Parts: sequence; structure tokens; C-alpha cells
Amino acid sequence: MTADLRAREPRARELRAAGTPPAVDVVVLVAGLAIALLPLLPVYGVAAVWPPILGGLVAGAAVAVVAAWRRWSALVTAAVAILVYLGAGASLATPGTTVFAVLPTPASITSLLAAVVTVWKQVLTLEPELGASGNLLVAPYLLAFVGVLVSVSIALRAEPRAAGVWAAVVAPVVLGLSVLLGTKQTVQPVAAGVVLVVLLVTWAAMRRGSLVARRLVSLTVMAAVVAASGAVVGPLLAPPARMVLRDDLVPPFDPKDHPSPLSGFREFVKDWKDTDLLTVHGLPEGATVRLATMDAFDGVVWNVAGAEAARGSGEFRRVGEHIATAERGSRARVEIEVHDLPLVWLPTVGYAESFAFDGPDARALADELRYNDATGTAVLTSGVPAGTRWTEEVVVPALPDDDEIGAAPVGSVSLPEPRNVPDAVSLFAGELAGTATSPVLIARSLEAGLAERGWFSHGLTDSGDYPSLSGHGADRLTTLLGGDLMVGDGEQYASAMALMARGMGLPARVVLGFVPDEEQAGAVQITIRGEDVQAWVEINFAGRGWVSFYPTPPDTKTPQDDTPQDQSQPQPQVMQPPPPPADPVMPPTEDTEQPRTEDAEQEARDDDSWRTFVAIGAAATVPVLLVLTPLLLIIAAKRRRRRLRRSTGDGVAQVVGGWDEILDHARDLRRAAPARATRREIAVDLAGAFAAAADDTRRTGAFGRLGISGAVVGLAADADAVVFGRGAPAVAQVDAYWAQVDVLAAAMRTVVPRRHRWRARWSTASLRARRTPRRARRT
Amino acid sequence: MLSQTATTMTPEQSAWFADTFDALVENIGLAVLGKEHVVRLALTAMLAEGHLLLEDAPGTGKTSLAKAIAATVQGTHSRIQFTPDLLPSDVTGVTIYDQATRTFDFHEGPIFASVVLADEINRASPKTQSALLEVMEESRVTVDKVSHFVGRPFMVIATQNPIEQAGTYRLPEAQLDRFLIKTSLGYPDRDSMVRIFAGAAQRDRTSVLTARITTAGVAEMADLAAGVHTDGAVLDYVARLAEETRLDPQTALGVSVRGGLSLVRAAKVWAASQGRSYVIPDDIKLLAEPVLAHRIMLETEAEFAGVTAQQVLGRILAATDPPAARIG
Repeated sequence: MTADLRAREPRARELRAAGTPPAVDVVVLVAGLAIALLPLLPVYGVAAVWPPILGGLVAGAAVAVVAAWRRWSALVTAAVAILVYLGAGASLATPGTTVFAVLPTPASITSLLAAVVTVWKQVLTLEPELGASGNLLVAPYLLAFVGVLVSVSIALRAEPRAAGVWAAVVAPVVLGLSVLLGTKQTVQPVAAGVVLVVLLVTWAAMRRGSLVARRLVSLTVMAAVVAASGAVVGPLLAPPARMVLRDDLVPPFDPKDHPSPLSGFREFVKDWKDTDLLTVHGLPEGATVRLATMDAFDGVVWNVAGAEAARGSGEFRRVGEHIATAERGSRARVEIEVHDLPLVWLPTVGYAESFAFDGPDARALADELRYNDATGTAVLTSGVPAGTRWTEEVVVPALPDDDEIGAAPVGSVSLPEPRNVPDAVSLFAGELAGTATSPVLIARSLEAGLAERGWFSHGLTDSGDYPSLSGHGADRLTTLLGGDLMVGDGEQYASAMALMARGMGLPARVVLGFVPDEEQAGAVQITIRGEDVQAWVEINFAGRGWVSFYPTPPDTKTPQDDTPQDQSQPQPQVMQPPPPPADPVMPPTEDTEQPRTEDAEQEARDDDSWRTFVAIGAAATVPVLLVLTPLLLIIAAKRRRRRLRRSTGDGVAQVVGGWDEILDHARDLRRAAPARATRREIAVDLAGAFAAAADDTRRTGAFGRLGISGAVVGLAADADAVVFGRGAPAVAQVDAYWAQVDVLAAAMRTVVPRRHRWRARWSTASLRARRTPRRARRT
Repeated sequence: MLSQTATTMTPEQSAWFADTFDALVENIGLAVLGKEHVVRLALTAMLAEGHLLLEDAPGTGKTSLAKAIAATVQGTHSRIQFTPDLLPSDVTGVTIYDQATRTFDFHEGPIFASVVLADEINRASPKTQSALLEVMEESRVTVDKVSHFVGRPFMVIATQNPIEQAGTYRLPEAQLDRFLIKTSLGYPDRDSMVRIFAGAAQRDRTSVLTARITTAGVAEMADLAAGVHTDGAVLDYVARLAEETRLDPQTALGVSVRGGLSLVRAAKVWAASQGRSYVIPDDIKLLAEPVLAHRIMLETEAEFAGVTAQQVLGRILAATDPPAARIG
């Protein structure tokens, strides 16, 4: 027992023999980590996240303290740490898996261990607030536990003791991690940052033993100035955006997350009718611009198959510089510029071999590009920004005519089975296909049948179109095919034909895109508007690839022409309506005032930037002045001291002053003369110190290496002769002495390293030290 | 400003003093190899008209040094080998009745010489030791109510073995105080030792020395040295040092006034030997130990603790600010 006690005693003493008591170390580091984990509060919500953080901190600190006290090796410490992590973690981080909310179950153990690897991705990919579900709380728990374990262990066990300050690095690292894991929402960032820095810096200074009273004032002033200017200037200079990994993490693109492009058909013809959507340069004749290819019908919309359809339209992948395509046909280089197309779908031509984006964002855009080589369509995951330009190397497959296709069977491609297909479709398909024998003939029959029997209308009743509902769900198609009047546009006809073809066993899909009209065809550069949108059907034939079919009736074939309804409604006899009022006089659209408003805006912007400039300038200048003022005061005090020494008292006093000037110079240069020494002893000491400095810096100054020694010894002897000799020195003698003092002072500055020289200029060492011996002598 | 009794020393005089001093040091250096500092101290004692005590183990050259100094000064010198049975009259001389003249004649003892070498002084009985007291302080011998002046210069160079050795009597404090400087030679460095061994055939190295200065010259130099300027600040420094030795808790007896005075006198000679006509604090610092250490008596506890007077003095020197400026 006694032996045990004796053996333990030195340990306890070593623990106490630090710059700070171990208890202070632990409390400071735990508090620092608690602050560092603040950014995780908005991620989980305060109520959910505080138990694992607090529990992790306490458990980690406990393990570290016990391990340091018992002198456990790293291996033992790690083993105990893992046991504690699992034991305490069950109820703290995975409460759902425990028995009575406390006892760990095998499930909680597995969950805790797996989470070490998996939790990070989950935290980043799920939308905050995350709450306490699953094992998501392992992230804050693990950060707190490991952070405290590491930092407290370093603090308590570092050899030499001063090396324990490295423990202060852990909290900022954890802070960085939790900011990256966190959201853009911040929790008292200025206060937390200041408290964390002040806490850790003060602790580190105490730990190193460099926190002494005489430095405290200057440290406090400097810290206050730095903190204040950081808090004020920082937000002015840096954008307030906070970098979090959540932003940079791109979840895999799943086209199912986006609405069916086909259901936006009406939007094109209605809202963007006359809007310039994109400009295509070098479009090969006969080629179309495709936006999206849809092969899945769910009874409501045609859509791109989901990402789970491995070999279908939904498989969008990152592509490199070059895309391998199996399609054969004519090659072309197409330049496309998007003016306004607020969708994720990137217009493409044929099958791409490469994409090359232009402009400053080219790299970012290329990162977002996903391409489906089965359909030749592409997306930009975060949407296609206006003004996007790119060059596309494409292969446009030759369009086989029907003779070439001949009796070719359908191609074997896997497509999702359409669901909830209205009965009217198959009925109508059978009617149209009739006796057609080959697949291509069936397709042609369907195409021709729809185009001949149907009427065209975009359904824009405001501009005089025949009423036609948008959409292409089962209900709408039933109306189309079974109604009194078959009326619709590309959206309905293409949907209907594709469903019919699928019903007939043909692999068909719907394409949304733009087809150049006769005027545009063959032009070098064409601009596509919303009204140019088209939907068509592609059917795959073995050995021939995808062949396009356009079942939509010509847009001139509108119901108004010959529908009896219109004619049978006689116009009531009314008075001739008054002529419409003349167009009100409008100001010219080319507003001459426009430029001036722009100027004003420009001025306002300039004004703003000036104000910002001035604010930043002021914010930067004030702290600089605050920092500089003491420095200038120090320099002024030294100048004044020198002047007084040079002019006060008799010749003897002035010579003594000259020697004191040398001593102060040496002191400011961190080579203070020994105390209670005679001038010659001081001279020998200084000569040695500066000769060593000259050896280190390889600079010799005005005298050369021996010169400094000679000069300082000579000045000491001269001063002794004047002070202890008989009588008073002549004025010329004093002047000569001071001239030597100045030369020697300059030489002393030259030989020391540059950083000592700069520090010496603002050092208060000599100003403070001068008073001390006098005071001491008086007592 | 304190008044200086002696005449002021001119730069030329100090230069001559320094040259002569160096010549003497060089001459003695021929016999005592590699001990220039001790030689300078010995000469300082002589020119300050004080006495020198050399304490060292046997065979370190104490006697050689004393003989060399004596040989360098052109004048009489004698040697007294102190033994336990030596009587005071053996030192001072005796009055003997001369039958031829029918008068009592005083026969001068060996003490009547310019340089007296008192070898192994601590082997004599205290009675004989104290016989030296009067001579050393007052430069005269009184026998049968008649005083006999011993002449000028007069210097006693005493040697003693460390007091721990067998058959020694400790010198009384009063007598120790009469020695201006107490120092030790120590063993020579290896170089000097080799040179000494090389001249082993020569039984007495001092026999080759020739006198370099007359007794009158010594007296002149002593007079000159007395004229070295000592600033009030330096005197204040000496006074402060003496005070500190008395106030120090480890000392039973500090430096006496005579001790301080001796220090100032020695410092003047030392300064002059450096070619200076003024004393600087460095002189005081340097001479403090040889001049003062043997005058300090330590407390018994300190002595038991192994503290030496040199250590105490070193501590006091390190703790006392030397003057940097004149006073007032």
C-alpha cells in the first residue's frame, strides 16, 4: 500500500508542476471545443445536438485525464477510448437503438462503428435540421469525444511541458471541420471566434509562462485592436458567404427529380413564343435540336426514366473531354448559345462527341455537365444559365428512308413499360395500323393517320386558337382520340403516337426539341424561339437506329377553317361598333432618357464603391493609427532622452550620457549589458555579444568585426577617464565622444539581424530599464 | 571635491611609472615563470609601501618570488626562516655589551633590510610573530627604549603554508590586517612548468637577476603613486564595499578602516602601473580580493558550511553597483 502510494506520488507532483494547473488545462480545452462545435447547432437543432456534444466532451476528457494519471500507453488509451465511445455513445448518439434509452444493444454498437465512416456523407447530403434520427448524432459526438481526448492528452502529457500548447491547435481544427459540416447559418460568429481565440491564446501564454504582468497591458491592447478591426473590417472586405461543404457536395443527378420536360410544352408556345431561346450556328441540314428524350409513361406524363433505369434515358453521367459514341453518320461542329432557357436540359444536336464551354465559368459548367449517350441528351445539374455558350462536336445519324428500312425488324432496346395506358390508344392504333405488315409501315400508318385525322391547335384561346387543353395524361389522350374533334399540338400527338407504337410492339420514345422551319433550314445561324418547339416520336429499327416520325398535323390545319360550330353561330345584329380608339401616343420605345438613368445608376454605383472604399480605408486606418501611435511615442521618447543626455549637465554628465546611450542601444538590440558591472566589464561583454552577432549575420558595419569591440572598449575607457580623472573635459572632447557614440550605435545596429534592428526601434526595454536601477539604488 | 595631499601625477609621469613597473615585472618574470598577475600584485604591495603575504602549498615558488623581488631592488635584503623556537630578538636584533668600548651596542637583526623575506611565518610562535607587528606598521624597532628606523623602502614578504598543515600557528587577525595584500601563486601552467624543468640544472633562478631599481627609485615611485587621483565616487565605492562586508550576515568581522585605506593605496599604484593618473572602479574590483579577503572573519556557521571569505567578497562585489558617474 505504502509502496503504491510512494510510486504514485511523483506522478501527481509532475501533473501539478505545469505552467497551469491540470484542472485549468482541462476546463479551458473543453470550453474551447464546446465553442468550436457551435456551428453544428443549426445542423441538428439545439435540443437534439447538445446531449452528444456535452456527453462527448465529458467522456473524452475523463478518458484523457484518467489515462494521463494512470500513465496508460497510447495503445491502452486507445482501447479504453473505443470502449467508452461505444458504451457512452449508444445513449448519446444513437438513442433509437438502446434498451431503456441507456443500454447499448448489438445494433447500437454496429451503428456506432459504421457511422464513423458513413455519417459524414449523410450529414452533408441530408437537409438540415437533421434532428436525432438514425446515427446522425455520431458526428458531433465523435468530434467532441476525439477532440477533447486528443487535446487534453497533449496538454497533460506533453514533454517538455511547454510543448503542451499544441493542444490549443485541436479546437480550431475541430472548428474548421464543424464549419465545413455546418450550414450557412452562423451562431454568434464574432463573439464565439473572439472568445475562442482569447481563451486559447491566453491559455497558451500561461502555459508557456510568457504571460507576465508587464506584457499584459500591451497584449490586451493589441488583442483588442486586432479583434475589433477583424470584427469590423473582416465583414467589409470578405463576402459574407461562408464556405460549407454542403454547398459543394453535388448529389447525383436524377432526372426523376425534375418535372417532365414535355409537360412544359405549353409554356414554350405560350410564355416564350417570341422569346429568343437559343442560337445555333452550323446546324447540319435536316438535323434537329433536341432538348429531352422521354421513354417512360406513367399514365400522367411522359418523362425521362429515373436513374434506376440503368440502360435507358435516365442514365446521365459525367463525361470527360471526349465522348465515345457508337452512332455513325456525318460529323459536324455546332456552336450553341443559350439566351434564355431556364431548365436543366441542355440543347443538343445528334450525338455528341465532345462539349467545350466558353467563358469564365467554363470549368464550373463542365463539372455540372451530365450526358446520356443512349438518347444524346445532356443536362447541367444546376440549370442552364443564360448566356451559356459551347461548341459541340456531333455525329448526326443519316436518316434512312422507308425503303432502306424495308422490312427491318424493330431494334432490341430495353424501355420502361408504359403504365396506365388508356384503352382508347390501343383501339385507335389498331384502327390506324390496319393491314400494315412491316414495323416501319405500321409506324408510318400511325404517323399519317394522326396527322390526317387530327386538327392543330396550341390551345391559346387568347390569341384565337381553338380551345385545346394542355397535358398528355391518360385522360387527355382519351379526349384526343375519342373526342368529337381530335385537336391538339405536338405534345398530345407525339404522346399518343408513342403510346400507340408501344402498344403495337414498336420501341418508341418521345423527343422534345426544336425543328427548324423551312426558312431556317440550311441557314448558317438560326435563332430558335419558343414557338419553334416540337415534340416527335422516335422508333428504333434493327440496324437502322432511331428513326423520327412527326405525327402532328401541320399548324395550318386549324379547326377554325371548317368547323361547323363557328359558322353555325350567327353574329347578332348589332350597331357597328365604334372604331377602336387610336393607339395612344406612346413614348418611343427607344427611350432617350434610358442612357441617363443608366448613368445615374452607374453614378450611384460609383458613389457606393467610393463609400465602401472610404469605409474600408477608415476601418483600416484607425486600427493602424491605434497600433502606430505607441510606436511613434516610443521613438519620440528615445529622441528626447538622447537630446537631454547630449545637452544636460556639465561635460562629465554629457559623456556619461553618451555611454548610457550606448547601453540603451544595446539593451534595445536585446544585448543588454550586465548589471552592476563597471564600464570596462560592460564593454568586454558587449564586444563579445556584438562580435558573435557579426559572425552570425556576416555583417561587420562601419568598423569591421574587431572595430566594434575596439570602439566599445575605447568608449568605456574614455568615459572612465573623463569621469574618474581630474577636472572637466573640453567641449571638443565631449563632441568627439558623442560622434563616436553615434558611429558605434549605427555599427551595433548593422551587425544584428534585421528583425532585431526593427524590434529595437520600437523596444521599450531601455525606457523601462533606466528607471529600475535608480530606484533600487535609492532604497 | 576631496583634497589630495600628494602632488598631481602628470601623464608623462604615469607613462614613466607604467614603463618602469613593466620593466620590473619583466625582470621578476625571468625567475617566476607564468605568474605575471601575482608579480604585479607583489610589486603593487611594495610600491604602496605595504607588505605581502603569500600563502600556498610548499614548492609553488613563494620563496622564489620573494627572492626575485628582493634581487630586483638594489638594496639590502634578508631572509628569516621562521621556526617554532625562533625568538623575537632573533628577528629584531639584540643589545650586546661591548667590552672594548664598554658600551651597549645594538646589533640589528635580519629585519633591518629593504626587503625582508619572512619564510614560513606561521611556523613561529605567536610571540615571535607579534614581534614583526611594530616593524611592519611603524617601520622601526624599539629595543631597550631606543627606536631604530629600518629604512625606506621597507617591505616584508611573508610566506606561509596553509594553516591546516601540521606545526603551524595561525596568524592573529591583527597581524593579518597589517599585510596589504595576501595572495597565492598556485601551480604554474604546463608551459611554464616545462620551462622550469628545462632549467633544472640551475639551482636558483633568482641568482641570475640583476637589480633594476634603486631604493631611492622605489621611494620615488611610491611618492608618485600617492599622487594618483581618486574620485569621490570611487572612494564612496570603497566605503560601500567595506560597509557591506561588515553588514553581511556571514561575516563576524568586516573590513577595517585600515583595510579600506589599504585598498585605496593599492588601487592608486595599480592605476599608475596601467599608465593612468586616476583610479577607476575596475582597479578597486580587481584588488578587492587580494587586499580585503584576509581581513574578513567569517561567522562560525558560515565557516562550517565551507564558505570562504573570497566567496563572501565575490558576492558583495557582484551585488554592489560600481560608480558610473561622479557624485553630486
